[in-house]
Amino acid sequence: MPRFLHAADIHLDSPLKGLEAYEDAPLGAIRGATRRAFDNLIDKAIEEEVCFLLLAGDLFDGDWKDYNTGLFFMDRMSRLRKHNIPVFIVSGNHDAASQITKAMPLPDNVTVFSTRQPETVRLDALGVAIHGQGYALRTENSNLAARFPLADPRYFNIGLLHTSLNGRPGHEPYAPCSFEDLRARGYDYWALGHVHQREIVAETPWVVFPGNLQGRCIRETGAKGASLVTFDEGRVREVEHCELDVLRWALVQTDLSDCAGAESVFARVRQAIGRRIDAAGDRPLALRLILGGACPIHNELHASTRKWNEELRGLAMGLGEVWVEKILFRTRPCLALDDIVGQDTPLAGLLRAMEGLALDRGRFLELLPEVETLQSRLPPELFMEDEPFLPEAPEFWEGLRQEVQELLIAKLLQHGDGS
Amino acid sequence: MRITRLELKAFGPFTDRVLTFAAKDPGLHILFGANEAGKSSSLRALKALLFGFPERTPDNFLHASDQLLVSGCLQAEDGRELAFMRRKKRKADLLDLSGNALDPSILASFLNNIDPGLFAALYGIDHEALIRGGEDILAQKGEVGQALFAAGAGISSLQKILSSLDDEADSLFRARGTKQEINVALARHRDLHKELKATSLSSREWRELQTARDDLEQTLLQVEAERNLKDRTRRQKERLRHAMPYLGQRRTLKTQIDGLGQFFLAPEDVYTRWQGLDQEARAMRTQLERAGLRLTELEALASALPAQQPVLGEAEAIEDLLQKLGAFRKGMQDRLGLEGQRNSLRAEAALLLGQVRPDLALAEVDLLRPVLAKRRVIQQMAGQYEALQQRMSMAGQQGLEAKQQQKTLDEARRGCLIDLHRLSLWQGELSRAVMLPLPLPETVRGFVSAWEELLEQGRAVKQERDEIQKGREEAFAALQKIVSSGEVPTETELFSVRERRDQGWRLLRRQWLEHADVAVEARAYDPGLDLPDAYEKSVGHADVVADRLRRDADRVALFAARQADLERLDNTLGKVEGKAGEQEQAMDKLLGQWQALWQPCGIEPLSPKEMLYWQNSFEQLRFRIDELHRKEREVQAKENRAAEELSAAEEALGQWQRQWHIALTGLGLDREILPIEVPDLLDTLESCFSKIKEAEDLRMRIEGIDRDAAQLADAVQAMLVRVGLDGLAGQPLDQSLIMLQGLLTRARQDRTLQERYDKEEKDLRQEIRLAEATLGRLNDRMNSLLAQAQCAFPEELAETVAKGKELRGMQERLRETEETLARIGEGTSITELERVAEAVDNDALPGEIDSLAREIKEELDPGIKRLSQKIGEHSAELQRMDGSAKAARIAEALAQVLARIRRLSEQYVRLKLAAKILREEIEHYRAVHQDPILQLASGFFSQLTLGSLTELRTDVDDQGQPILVGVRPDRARVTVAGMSSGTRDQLYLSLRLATLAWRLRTNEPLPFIVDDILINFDDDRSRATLKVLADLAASNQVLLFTHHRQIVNEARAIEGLGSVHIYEL
Repeated sequence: MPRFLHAADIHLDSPLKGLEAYEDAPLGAIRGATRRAFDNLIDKAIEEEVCFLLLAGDLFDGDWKDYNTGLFFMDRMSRLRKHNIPVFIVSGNHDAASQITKAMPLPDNVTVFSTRQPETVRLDALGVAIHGQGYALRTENSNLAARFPLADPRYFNIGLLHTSLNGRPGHEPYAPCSFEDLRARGYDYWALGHVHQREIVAETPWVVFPGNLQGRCIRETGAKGASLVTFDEGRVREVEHCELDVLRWALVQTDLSDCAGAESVFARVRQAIGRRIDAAGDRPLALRLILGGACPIHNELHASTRKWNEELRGLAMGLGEVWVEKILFRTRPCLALDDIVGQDTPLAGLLRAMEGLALDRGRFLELLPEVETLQSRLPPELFMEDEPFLPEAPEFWEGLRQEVQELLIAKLLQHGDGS
Repeated sequence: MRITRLELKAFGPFTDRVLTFAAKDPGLHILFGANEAGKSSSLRALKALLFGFPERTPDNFLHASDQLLVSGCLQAEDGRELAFMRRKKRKADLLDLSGNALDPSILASFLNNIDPGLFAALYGIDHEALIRGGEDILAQKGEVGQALFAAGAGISSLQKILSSLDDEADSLFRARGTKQEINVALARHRDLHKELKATSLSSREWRELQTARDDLEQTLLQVEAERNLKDRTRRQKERLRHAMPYLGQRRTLKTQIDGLGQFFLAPEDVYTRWQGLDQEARAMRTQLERAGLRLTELEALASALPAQQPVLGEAEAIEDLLQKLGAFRKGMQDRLGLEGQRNSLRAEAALLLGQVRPDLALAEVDLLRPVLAKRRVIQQMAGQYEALQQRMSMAGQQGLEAKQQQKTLDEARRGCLIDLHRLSLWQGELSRAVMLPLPLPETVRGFVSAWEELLEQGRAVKQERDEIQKGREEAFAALQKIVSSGEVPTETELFSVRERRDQGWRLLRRQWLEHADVAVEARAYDPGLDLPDAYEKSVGHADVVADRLRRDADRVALFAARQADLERLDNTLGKVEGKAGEQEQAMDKLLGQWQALWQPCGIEPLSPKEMLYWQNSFEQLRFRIDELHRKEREVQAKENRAAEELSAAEEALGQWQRQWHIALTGLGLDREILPIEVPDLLDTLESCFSKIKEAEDLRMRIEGIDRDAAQLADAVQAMLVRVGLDGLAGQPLDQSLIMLQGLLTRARQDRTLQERYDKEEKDLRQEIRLAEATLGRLNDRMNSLLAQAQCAFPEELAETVAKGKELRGMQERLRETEETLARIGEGTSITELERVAEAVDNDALPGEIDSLAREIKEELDPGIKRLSQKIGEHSAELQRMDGSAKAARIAEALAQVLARIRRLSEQYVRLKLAAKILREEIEHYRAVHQDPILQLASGFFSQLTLGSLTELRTDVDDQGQPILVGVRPDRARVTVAGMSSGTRDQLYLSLRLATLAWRLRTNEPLPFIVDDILINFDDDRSRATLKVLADLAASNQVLLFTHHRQIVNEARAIEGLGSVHIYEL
């Protein structure tokens, strides 16, 4: 039965974010990850002998200027050409902003749909009609789907579009449209892009976000890849997810309840990471370790997070190709904080002061005006990212207050005469 | 709360060790343990009891981890008590005394729900913490807020925490720094950014380059086409110029060949072949001639050889004889030596025989063989003899030993008798002493205690009696004293005087009212006075007594009391006397029983206590006597055994001697032979026999040699006759044999020669036959060659061949010329070349060629080179733009640096905020607690420094910060920097104690645990500290663990508000 591959949000040469290089970190594992994942896609297309490949937008990062990325893309398109695999592309918001996309002379097996109006390509030998339209501007706010032509009843109809549908958290609401808009066209399969989380929105008709090809930050966890669609006699027979990522992101929640010593902490972490390693197959892992639970070792953890960072990273590396993105110390002490600081002790006073501290950006800079010097020196990217540095969000300031409180209480208790 | 008991059931070096901290007040409890005695273990045990065992413990070396157990009892201020146990377990480690799980919250309520860490900080101090605390105060420069906060929270290194926060933040970022982690990362970020910009390829750049290269390639194609055309023309002309001379040469050769005309062209090699055959034929003829000559020579030589000889038929027999000659000669040689050896062996045998039986000749020696046959038996008997001797001497030895031991025992017996005598009370035989039916020690001990009890009673009675006597005397003396200070009227006296007055009144009344005669009675009433006077006197007397009685009421009462005392004492004395009587009776009875007890032994006993000692000594002596008797019996048995063994040994020796005699009769010696001699004697005899045997063997070998020699001589003689050398008979054997050998050799040589001649002749004849045939064939072939060249004679042949050779040479040169032309023409045919050459001006040709070559070399080729180079450059540039991931790699590095900057910046923010908040809180704590706590601390500090510093105060330093200063008795102020390190330690301790005391006002007390903090204090300050702790102990339990005996000694002399207790581990 004929098959095609549907991928989106390639973001070629976009670097993996949030991974700080540290000694012995598996640098090779993250190098050129998006390229390698893209190569996996090309290999998959050739191996499965698909009839065509659909790319539903965002081939490149909008602000990425190196034309070598485009040349790499063209080279891989030529490879598909050698295997007689046509490629159909609609541009996404990133592509609309990209210099590379505009300049790229593509081989004749590649069709890029118009950005002015919907266009239809008919593959008579297969009985397939592909309808698509790309973005002319970065911010496409009109309902593109509504203008797509109605299905041609003689063909198996596919709609190719970069859209956030009726909105998805963490994604700009571009080319908004409703599921009803899509269904009304009467197509058999909607190949969508833009949303990085894989999602099968519906099965009649099939509306599929394949997710991005390679996770690039800790918010993009889990298996990533493309959808392999089998169709026959004008109907979708099967939609199969192919894992094509070369590195996997994971949030590893580790419950350290009752842990009293380093050995037991290591054992729990080892076990938690081990499970993720098994799930990722032979892929390297980039993970965020979240330590939780009420445990006797709580103070020891918070008093020297730096040391624990190093030791746990070392431990993770010993388990395989594992890159620890960040370690969040969210453990709790076994006793209530009030009992720990006692009555009428300086610690109790400190705790009350901390609890009474209403921290926000303004109050913070008022307390520590010298931090503004640092802020002025930091690269602008840090403030433009999805998690900007010193944001306005109250959760951030509450988190910071908590961390500082844990740090101080832990340090003071650790340095008590009894320790 | 206080701890009333700590039980180390199984912990560290301890098993079931109990420490009971019993005191009316909370008390200062000093736990002393020398090194290794378990001071630290017991401290850990206390912590484990209160808060559980740590995950890893050093205290499981004696008891396994799962066996570790501590138990204890706590008492709350309200009197509640909790006794419980703790074992090392992750869960359910808390048990009540019956081993049931105990709810931890019950224990927690006794501990005020305090966190273990906080308890250790607030209620624990050890030497290291004290030193750290002192150092930290110095590091803070005595800053009041920090000092108070640190002491209040039980933190000895607050300054360290503050500076660690500051230092870490500083190591992360500084506005003008370059080496700080964030600064470094920012610089790296900038560099990478630049690098990314430089590495990134823009799409415009790529397109321009691509177009430029395409244009250049087009131009290059055009220039190359022009160059190719010109070069072709040049090369054509060049060819023609080269071909011209060869075309001429070709024409000339063709003419010459035509000039030679027609003739028969014989094969080129025919003459050479004919010459070769002629040579061969000549050689063959010479060979035939030489063979004929040699044949004649051979025939002459063969006829000169002698006829065949009979000796050849005996060749093998002769060689056999020659071989035997060697053996014969060797045999003769050996025979001499063997004869000598035989003679000397026989002489040696005779000599050996002489040592045994000088009377026997060598020939009679066989008489002695039977003796040698019994050799083993004789040797065995000799061995037995030694054993028998040994046995005899052992038996004798044992007898002697027994006698010796008997002597020692006699000595011991005398000792026992003397000791018995010394012990006295009983004399008699030792054996009777053993049998003596002494009373049981338990019985005697019963008497001792009864005796003691009675004596004690006696003493008590006596003491009582003495005391009563003394009381009586004192009471009597007091009575006397009252009496002696004036007569004491009594009720009795008053009664009697009133009676007398009433009697007088009654008489008077009878006389006065009834007028009765009472003269007699009146005289009796008072003989001296008449009745009225007497009555008056009695009335006056009665009044006086009544008055006195009233006036001296106190003395009267005292007198009456003393008198009552005296009576009571007399009464008691009577009772005591009674008791004394009873006691004496009891004593007599006991004495009777006591003596009756010893009656059967015939012993007059001393006091029971003495008898107990006597009996003990007597029992020891009896034990010794028993031992003595047992040993005597043993010695007697030993003596008997020795005597029996001696007689048995003697009998065995007799038996042996008889057998020995019989065994040695065969030797025929007339004297007694000692076993020790026997081995030598037998060895000599055996050597003698072995020598005789060797001599006999030699004799047989000599006979063999003689026999072989005779046989050889006979064989040689027979041979001489067979080969016809009869004349040599009688010659010595070896000479005859050498003659035979010579004869045989010569005959063999002759035969060999004859055979060789025959073979050579045969070969020669064959050779001659073959040579003649070959010669015939050669002649035939030479003739056929002549016919081939169509020549009649060999002489014609040479000329014909030379002419053919000339023609062939010319044809070859023509062919070479044409080949050269074909090569130059490079495909152009010779005919075509000749055609073109005819049309060309030969002289103009080089000029045309030169001008074409110049144009190509100077204009077209450099143009092509320039273009190619440019295209190459463009291609290289485009090659570089190969879709490489270099810029992407830089972007990856940038992302990594950004992550780093983010993490470090967040950490920086945390540290800054933490330091800021901590400082603010320290200041806040100071503002609230400075006055009350400093006041308390001041008192402790003055006590601890023995008044060397009388007060603690706050002052302000150069920066306006409040700081701590000490005040000397002369009001001089001392900053913390000016204090000795010991004084700073005491300052820290004062602040800790002040906080503890301050907390006591609001919180229930918890035990203060002090671990050897006095190590560096001098003796006086040590005592002062102990005093302070003892004072504190009145309201708060203090447990002081120490390794130092000195501390314990000093503590014994301390008198504080609280009680002091000392425990040695």
